[in-house]
Amino acid sequence: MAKRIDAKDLDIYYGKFLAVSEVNVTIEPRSVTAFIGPSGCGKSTVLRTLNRMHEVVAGASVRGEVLLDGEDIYGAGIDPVDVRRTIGMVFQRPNPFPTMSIYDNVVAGLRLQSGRIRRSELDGIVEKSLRGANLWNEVKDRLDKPGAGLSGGQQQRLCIARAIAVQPQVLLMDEPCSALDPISTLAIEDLIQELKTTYTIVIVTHNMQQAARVSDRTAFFNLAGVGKPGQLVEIDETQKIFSNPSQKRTEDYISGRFG
Amino acid sequence: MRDIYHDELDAIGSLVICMAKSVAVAMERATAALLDANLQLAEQVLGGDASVDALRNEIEERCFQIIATQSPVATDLRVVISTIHLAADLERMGDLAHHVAKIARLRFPEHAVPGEVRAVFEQMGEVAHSLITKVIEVVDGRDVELAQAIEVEDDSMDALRRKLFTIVLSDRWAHGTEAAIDVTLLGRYYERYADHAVAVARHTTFIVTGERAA
Amino acid sequence: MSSASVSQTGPGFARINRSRKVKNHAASVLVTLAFGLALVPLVWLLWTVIGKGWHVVVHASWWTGNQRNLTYQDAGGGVYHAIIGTLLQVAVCTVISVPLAVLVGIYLVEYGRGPLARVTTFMVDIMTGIPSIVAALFVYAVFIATFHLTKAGWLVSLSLVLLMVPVIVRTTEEMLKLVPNELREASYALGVVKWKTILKVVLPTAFTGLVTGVVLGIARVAGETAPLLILGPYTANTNYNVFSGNQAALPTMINEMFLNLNHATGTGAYHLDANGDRVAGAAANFAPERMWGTALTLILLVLALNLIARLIGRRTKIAD
Repeated sequence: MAKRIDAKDLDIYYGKFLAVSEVNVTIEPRSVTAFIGPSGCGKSTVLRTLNRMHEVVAGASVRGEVLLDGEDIYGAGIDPVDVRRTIGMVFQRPNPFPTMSIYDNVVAGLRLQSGRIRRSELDGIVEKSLRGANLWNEVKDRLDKPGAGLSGGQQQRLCIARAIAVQPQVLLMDEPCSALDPISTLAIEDLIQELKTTYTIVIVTHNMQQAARVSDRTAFFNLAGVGKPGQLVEIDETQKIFSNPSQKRTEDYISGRFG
Repeated sequence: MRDIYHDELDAIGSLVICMAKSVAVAMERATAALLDANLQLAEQVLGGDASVDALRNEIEERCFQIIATQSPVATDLRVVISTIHLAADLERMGDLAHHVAKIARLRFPEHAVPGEVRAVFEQMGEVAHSLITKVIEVVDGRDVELAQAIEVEDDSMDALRRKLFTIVLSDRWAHGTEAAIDVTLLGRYYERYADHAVAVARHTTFIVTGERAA
Repeated sequence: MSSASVSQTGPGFARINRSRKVKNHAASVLVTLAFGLALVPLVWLLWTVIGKGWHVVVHASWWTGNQRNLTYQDAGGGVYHAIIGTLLQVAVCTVISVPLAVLVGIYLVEYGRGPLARVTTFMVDIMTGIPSIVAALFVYAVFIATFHLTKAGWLVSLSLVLLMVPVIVRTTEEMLKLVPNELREASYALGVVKWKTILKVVLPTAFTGLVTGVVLGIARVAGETAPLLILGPYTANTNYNVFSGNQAALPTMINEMFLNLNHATGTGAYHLDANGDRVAGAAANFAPERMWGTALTLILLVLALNLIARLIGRRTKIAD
């Protein structure tokens, strides 16, 4: 089910400004790939191009290819909305829809995409998604309560349940634990380990220990210089990046000598 | 960035050099006490060993703190873990100098080493000194090639010990069992000293290359 | 932040500066006085209106009767016809304004980027400043002078539309901007198209704010008098038809009563009785009390609308 992603010679623009240049990454299916790098180096930007969310910003554009199992998601005539159904996203601050209950939040994606689905089917999907997000036991007795009434960690897991309810192939996570306390963070990390058996996952994180714990491969992004675009410096097995990286800049970053 | 962390790593490095220098001095004095039957020098070595042990404890304690609070990765992690190991090796080297000095004191006012093996022990003392000096340079500068030179010099220490054996086991040995035992033990101490020096060099190589010696 | 001078060099904290205390106190007094001063007109107004009007308003017949066949000399009657007129005209105005204004607000916030959006915003800004009489004259010029239609309630509504639309556009814009962008992004990331996101996620989230905006718009136009004077002549009868015939409204009723205020009272006055004979003594004049009663009624109506807005706001609360 999960697919692989290949980004080829990707240049990312905001209007005329080149934000990230010449990105070439391969995301293996059913694995976790982490993007690390200092603030402003473009890792979130690259993440958002993987599901065409980058275009939501006015004037933003992309040159190059992003292949999902060989098919270019930026190909002529491809519907970005359809791309986002296959490649889901979880954001830094938990953002459940405030006017909807927990139940409605989980099925929001399905309902808003296609409209009529039988209630019995929806019940099944809700339970499956909430179980998949390790949230079922905590909320099964209050599915009709507002989604925004949960704690931060629970809200984020609700957002994950909402994302997987539409059955994507890939899950993109933009610093999903930044706004959470340490216990919730670890709960989400455990969840990611479970999810990777089903989905391809890409996670942007500032926390290097998290990247080392959670990912199979790690990509290090950095600015080429002051005022220059961001670029991919190194991508490799996580083990290698954190014990003996090939590039000195990578080692300097993970040891905290800059960034 | 992370100045406190890197300053602390540097401070631990200085402590290691300090410890290595103490060990060098201890072995130098122990050798002199042995060869000249100098009681005063022997007592100095015996008294100074406690401070070498204390240095090892401090280095280890600070390394634990770094691991617990700073999450070192890559080279820094290798530095911290290897420092713990090589501090143990340096402490053993200090203990070996202590043992040498003990024998020297025990046999006072006699010479613990008879005349015919004196030259061998002189050479052993020189090799030991050369080794520890190189070790200090290797740890300070992280010079991998020098580390390999240390391995070669260790071989010469082994050769000296074999020579010692030959002399003690020969028919011409006329100094009795007690002296034979002393000489054998002393030879072993110097040989172990050299082996630990090699271990320190290997730890330093690991820090730099990330690869363990075969 | 503290500018207190340290008056000792030894350990311990400095005392609060005396001049700072005085300044603080003076500022508090000044602010309270200003507040009191601002309250004066409001309190005076309410005191006057309530004082002069409440005894008329408490009768049940005030709320059910109209002014048919009553002169200023006759007691009784009510304000029902005017309430109906105001409510109907405002209702027609709302039905036209709200969809138009909300859609414009949505366009400006969610879609508009280019020159059309800039022109629209500019136009809405101008419209917020249109005097009500100008709006009324515009409607008069188009529908009565050019198309030769007759004055009626719906024409009043049209000019009220010109006044209500900019208010609602502005509040819609503000409320939509308050919806965090993360919610829109969450919806897009689920593969939901833009218009559905606006309809099912953004609007429900901004709903209470939008309702408040609409009610504020209604409260604003309910008391506009100039359009009524030009386009909606007063009648004492109840007229349920906005599209033809004269229709009473609360402001015009006030005006009507006001025009009858100056009939003579006091000594030397006389009036004609039912037979047409002269009778000494001033005629009773019920116009003043009806005027104040109508004013109070109008205030109460607007107050009721505000309370409804708050109730709606409390019912569909955005959870944090």
